[in-house]
Amino acid sequence: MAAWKFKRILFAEDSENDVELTLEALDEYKLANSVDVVQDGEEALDYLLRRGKYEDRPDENPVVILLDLKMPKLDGLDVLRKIKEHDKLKNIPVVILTSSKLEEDIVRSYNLGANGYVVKPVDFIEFVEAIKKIGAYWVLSNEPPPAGRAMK
Amino acid sequence: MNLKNPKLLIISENPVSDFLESINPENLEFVFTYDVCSSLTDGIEKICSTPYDLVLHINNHSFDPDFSSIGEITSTAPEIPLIIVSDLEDQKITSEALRQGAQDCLVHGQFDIRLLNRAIWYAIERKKTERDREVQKAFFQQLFEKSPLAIVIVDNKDKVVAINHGFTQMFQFKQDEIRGLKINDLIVPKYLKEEATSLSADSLQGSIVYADTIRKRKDGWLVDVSVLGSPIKLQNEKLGVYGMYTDITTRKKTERALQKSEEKFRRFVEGSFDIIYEINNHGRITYAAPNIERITGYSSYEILGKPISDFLFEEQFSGKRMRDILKNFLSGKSLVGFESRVMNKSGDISYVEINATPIYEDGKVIGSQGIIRDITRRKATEKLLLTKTMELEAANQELESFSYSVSHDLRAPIRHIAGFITLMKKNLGDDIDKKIMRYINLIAESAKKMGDLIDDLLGFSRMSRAEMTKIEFDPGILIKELIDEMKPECENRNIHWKVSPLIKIYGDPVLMRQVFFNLLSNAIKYTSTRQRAVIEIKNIDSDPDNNIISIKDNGVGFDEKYADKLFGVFQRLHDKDEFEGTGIGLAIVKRIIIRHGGEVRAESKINSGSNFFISLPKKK
Repeated sequence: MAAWKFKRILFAEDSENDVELTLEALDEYKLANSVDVVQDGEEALDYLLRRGKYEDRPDENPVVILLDLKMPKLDGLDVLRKIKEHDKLKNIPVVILTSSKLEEDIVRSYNLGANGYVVKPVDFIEFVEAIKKIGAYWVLSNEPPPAGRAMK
Repeated sequence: MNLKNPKLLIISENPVSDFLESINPENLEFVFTYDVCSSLTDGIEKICSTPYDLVLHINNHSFDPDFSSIGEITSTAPEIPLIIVSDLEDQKITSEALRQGAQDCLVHGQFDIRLLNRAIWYAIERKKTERDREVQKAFFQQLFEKSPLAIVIVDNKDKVVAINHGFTQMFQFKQDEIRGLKINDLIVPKYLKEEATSLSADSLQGSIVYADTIRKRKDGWLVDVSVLGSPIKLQNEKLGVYGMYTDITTRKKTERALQKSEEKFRRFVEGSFDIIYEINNHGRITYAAPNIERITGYSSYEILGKPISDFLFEEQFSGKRMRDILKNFLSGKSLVGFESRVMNKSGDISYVEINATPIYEDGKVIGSQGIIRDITRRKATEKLLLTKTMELEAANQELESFSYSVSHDLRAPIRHIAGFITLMKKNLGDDIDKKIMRYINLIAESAKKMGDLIDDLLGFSRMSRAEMTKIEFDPGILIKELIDEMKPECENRNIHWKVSPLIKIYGDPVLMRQVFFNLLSNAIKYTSTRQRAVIEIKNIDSDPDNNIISIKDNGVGFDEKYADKLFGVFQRLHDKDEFEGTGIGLAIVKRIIIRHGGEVRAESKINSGSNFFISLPKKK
């Protein structure tokens, strides 16, 4: 299990309630401790590019990014664009996790290179199911790209 | 004719030698040669066969007292001069002889050879002059008499001297009844007296006058005539005036008809709301209807001859653009729906639309004629419409952001409530007060309900805004697919589907799929209490312009007095315990059908099923 601690999930979400509910759901697979939470888009980029308070973070990309769309400062779509434009970050799987069912949001997200789009169900049981599936697939089943290196 | 030595015929009953000797005692030479006849009958015969220069008739008064012989001679040979020698000296006899056509009348014993020689020459000369005058007179007479014109000769007092046949034909007067009467009293209508008087005066003064006017016949009928008045002078003496009249009734009639037609078209042109104009091939205005003043402020006279480009207010219009348009005209192209602006005298701008066609002459374009329509009001309406459209778009934009906030911002707290309530329930375990458990469940239910309502509302607004792509398609195929899809819901149900072949409809297949889905799921839902559900789908043909499809079930139905509420958002006619749903389905159906330009209505009775009719316009 030596590699386990490097399997980090970056979760960008400004709503504390959502953070709590999501962590609760991920904990079903004991994944809650692998989650790093950021409150807005700028902080997400600081984390990914190891800037500011994340300067000392190990040089390791998260295995998946769960990205809310509506956030203060930089919103989810801006962050997504920056990630997919960045050579070192563009291979990180990004799953949009949002309340928005708007078709425009879905289309724009996929156009920018999102790897998944999940609408948070109102019903908590369904919500837990959805989050569990995300965790199970992206963290447990999926083989992430070689750490920290982008394919040329 | 030998005038030096004229040839005479002497008619005399007595021997001529006695007579000649008696007048020539000195035995002088005669200037003439002569033949002799002793009777008038012989003389007439001779005159007919020989061209004599003169006839000398030595008359015996007792033989021919009333000169009937003179008439016989002059009528046989009117061109031959005649001298009578009478044996009586009587003024009356002399005058009578001259009147009958003799050139001279000599009296026996009162002349000699010298006088006779001279009398012969004079008579020949006189006859010749007389003859010339008669020819002249004949020339004139024939012209006068035979002319198709109506001619009157009046003296210098305006009194009729003579009229010709044409005059009688035109005005019905005979010469005898009007000779000596003033012409203007006869054939001039009262209201034209002044004009006629001045015409007469002018021509008497020596001018030739023309006029198209009206004259009156004897029976009072008015005739359109053209008059020519021409003075008659002898040396400086003003003898009178010729009046010549041509009947111009036909011409006038044509002219009047032409004028009437011209007036009619002028009324069309000038009474039109549009401005009719004409330009030459230099772009200069050659005609503009008076109403051009309305948009230019200039009268149609002021505008004549000016380049049309002067009035079109278009920065890019003058110069090259104008030349291009003119070039188009000259190649025979028309101008259709050309929009421009016009600046009037005081600087106000109107919008105009110009339609024009080229004018040809001998196969060449010599200009263009067209109409200018003031479209300022239309332009204003268009502008207003544009503003309204923009406002509408802005409102739509606002609605989008509202939808977004409903979708995102309202859903989040509901989700949180639902989430934490579930967690709360889990953490409390089974060992809790039943009342508290009930409250928790109610909160959870309400949260879920609210979430569903929000989702439905979003769906509804999405259907309202989705783009429509209409095609013609068979709705039967769509319905068959939907029935297949809904099989899971129909498990453990006894549903009898009666789907008739349907006429093709014209609409957006995606939206229409939603319509049929909502109507069919309603039918399934509201027949759930039936042992055997019957759902029937068929065309109703009662309208030539629309396709009507009926979807009929034998379900619980509804009270028709609430039919108008049926299609409202979140309107439900059944208890939610009885049948699930938020009440958005039929609102979506109605919205989609209205967007297609169609109608939807329902018929029902409680407990005896419902029948929904959707009516869609046929493809034109």
